[in-house]
Amino acid sequence: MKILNRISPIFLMGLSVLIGFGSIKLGIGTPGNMGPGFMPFLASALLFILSLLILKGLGGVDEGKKERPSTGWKNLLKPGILIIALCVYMLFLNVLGYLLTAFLLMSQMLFISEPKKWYMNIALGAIIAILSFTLFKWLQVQLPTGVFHIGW
Amino acid sequence: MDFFQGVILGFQASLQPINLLYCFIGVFIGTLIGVLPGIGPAGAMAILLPVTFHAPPLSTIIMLAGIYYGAMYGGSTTSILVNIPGEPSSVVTCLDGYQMALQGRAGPALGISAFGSFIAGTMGVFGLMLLARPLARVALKFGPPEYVSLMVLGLIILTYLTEKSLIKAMAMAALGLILSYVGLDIIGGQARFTLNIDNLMEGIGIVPLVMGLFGIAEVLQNVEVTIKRTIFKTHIKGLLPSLKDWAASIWAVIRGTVIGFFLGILPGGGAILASFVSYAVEKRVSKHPERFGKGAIEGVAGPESANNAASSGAFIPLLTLGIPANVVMAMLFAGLLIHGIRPGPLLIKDYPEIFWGVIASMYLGNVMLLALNLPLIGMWVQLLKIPFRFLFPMIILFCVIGVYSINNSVFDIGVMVVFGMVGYIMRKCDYEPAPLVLAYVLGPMLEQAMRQSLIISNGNFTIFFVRPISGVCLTVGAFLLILACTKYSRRKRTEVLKE
Repeated sequence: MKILNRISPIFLMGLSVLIGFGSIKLGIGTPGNMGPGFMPFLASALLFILSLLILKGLGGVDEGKKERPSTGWKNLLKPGILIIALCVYMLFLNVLGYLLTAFLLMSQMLFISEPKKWYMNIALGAIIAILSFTLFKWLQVQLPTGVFHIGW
Repeated sequence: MDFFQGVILGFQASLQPINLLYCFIGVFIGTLIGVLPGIGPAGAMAILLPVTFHAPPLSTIIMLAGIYYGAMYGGSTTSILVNIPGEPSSVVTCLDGYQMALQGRAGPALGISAFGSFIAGTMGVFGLMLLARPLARVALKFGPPEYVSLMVLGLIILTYLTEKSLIKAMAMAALGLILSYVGLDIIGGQARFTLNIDNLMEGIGIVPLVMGLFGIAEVLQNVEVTIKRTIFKTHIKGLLPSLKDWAASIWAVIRGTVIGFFLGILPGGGAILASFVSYAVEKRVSKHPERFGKGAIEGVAGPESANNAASSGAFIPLLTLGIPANVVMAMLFAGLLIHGIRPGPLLIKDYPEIFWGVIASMYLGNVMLLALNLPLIGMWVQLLKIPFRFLFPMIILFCVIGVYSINNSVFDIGVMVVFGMVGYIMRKCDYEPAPLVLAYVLGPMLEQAMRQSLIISNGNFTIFFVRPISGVCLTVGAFLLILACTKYSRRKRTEVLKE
């Protein structure tokens, strides 16, 4: 956590510098005639100063304040898999359509918590996909059909 | 239109079957998300925004408002029975509510929480009715400099009241402002920070941003470890508090209502702050402060009333000034904008059926919530038994489809996933997402008002200080910032939080 607490203000400082230069490029203008870069420049300057203060150790949580119980970085596997699953889902949503991708995503997410009951996860994934499809159709939400035109 | 005509118009509109249905759906979903830890009212509203595209504007706002105050009711159930707050504003209810449950008094705890919420919610709506009109009339006299100062004050208060680091909260507000400037410039039409991506020309969508920061990030954090919820196993009986319970709680309910309502009005304030202040006040005025934390019924009645009254008070800045006081109000603001309605001082004049309809629906919603939370308490308790491993896939699915259906765009899902990861890392590093979202919503309004102000003053920044209302707002903001930096204030804050 300590490393990340060091990296995060540096990242924010880097971002503010980039935005600051971008704002100057856009044109800051004058106070009477503000350019499109005026407000982003002000915000980036503020972010830079605050990040610097955080980096100097002034942004720590005050003593006595309740912190969320941190689990550290040891349990990153499940969130990592979840992010990858969402990225894959995003890539294939328009190709495979809602029903197939929802089924795969649901089964995979259920698999994250109970890897042993794979048959159960597949069945539940299919049920959730079909039920949610019916619900979204009823709510008139437009869903992608994919190249197989499944669901219509 | 006078006051009584407005009230009659409001009830006429909100009693239409379609609006009653949407009100019920809103309070039902609100109670549900309040009961189930994992997704808050802001996330739920973001999920349901696309669903409301086909609904009439009044029904949409009635439903979204119902989710907000419904969540305040539902949040107490988990606090009392599981010792896990379903909603951040119910954190303080855990202290005495769970202790009461352990002592076999879960029924009275749930009962006083529901009745207190009902009384506070109804009184809060009454206060909203009385105060909103005069405030809207005052707000009509506001010019761009006053709006700039009010928005700056709102952001300062929000960061000042942050649970974690003040500097980090301010940094997040600055980041929120930067994110709000992505897209075409509102005056010149120049593309800003779009990285030549067409989808970013209209800016980053508020729904993917909120869903990512609140919905996805929360799920990512919760899947890390399996939390076992121990539900209090007992037959819940005696939901109606006894006369002794009423005698102990009634003043706590009244104090909680007043505190909650006025803290709810504050831009940047809200239900969380209200519940904590109410608890501290109850403990201070009690003849037996040692009972607090060991099952004092006032410790449940006060905060639960305060958070409900605050949810009514929070509507005032939105409906009268057009400034959302907190993240949930920002979502409601987005809901109104989607339907082409701009909240602000002219809302009462231009859309009286919306203004009065929402207020009247809140009365009806409070009655529905009382029915949902007392006789049907068993149903919500059963819901608590659903393991998180079944819940989180549903949350993800609703987030994904909710975001996709706004523009039928996979890009928006990508934005949500990115902000999900950002939110997850932010939580790891103790950065709070609320200032970021509020600054993001206020950013474009702030820029427009700032430009107008400086055009009026020929580029002279003193315009913000010489105009009385603007000057007062900025002075209060500066005072709060100075106060936050002083050693005494930091020590006092630490003491209060420890308490």
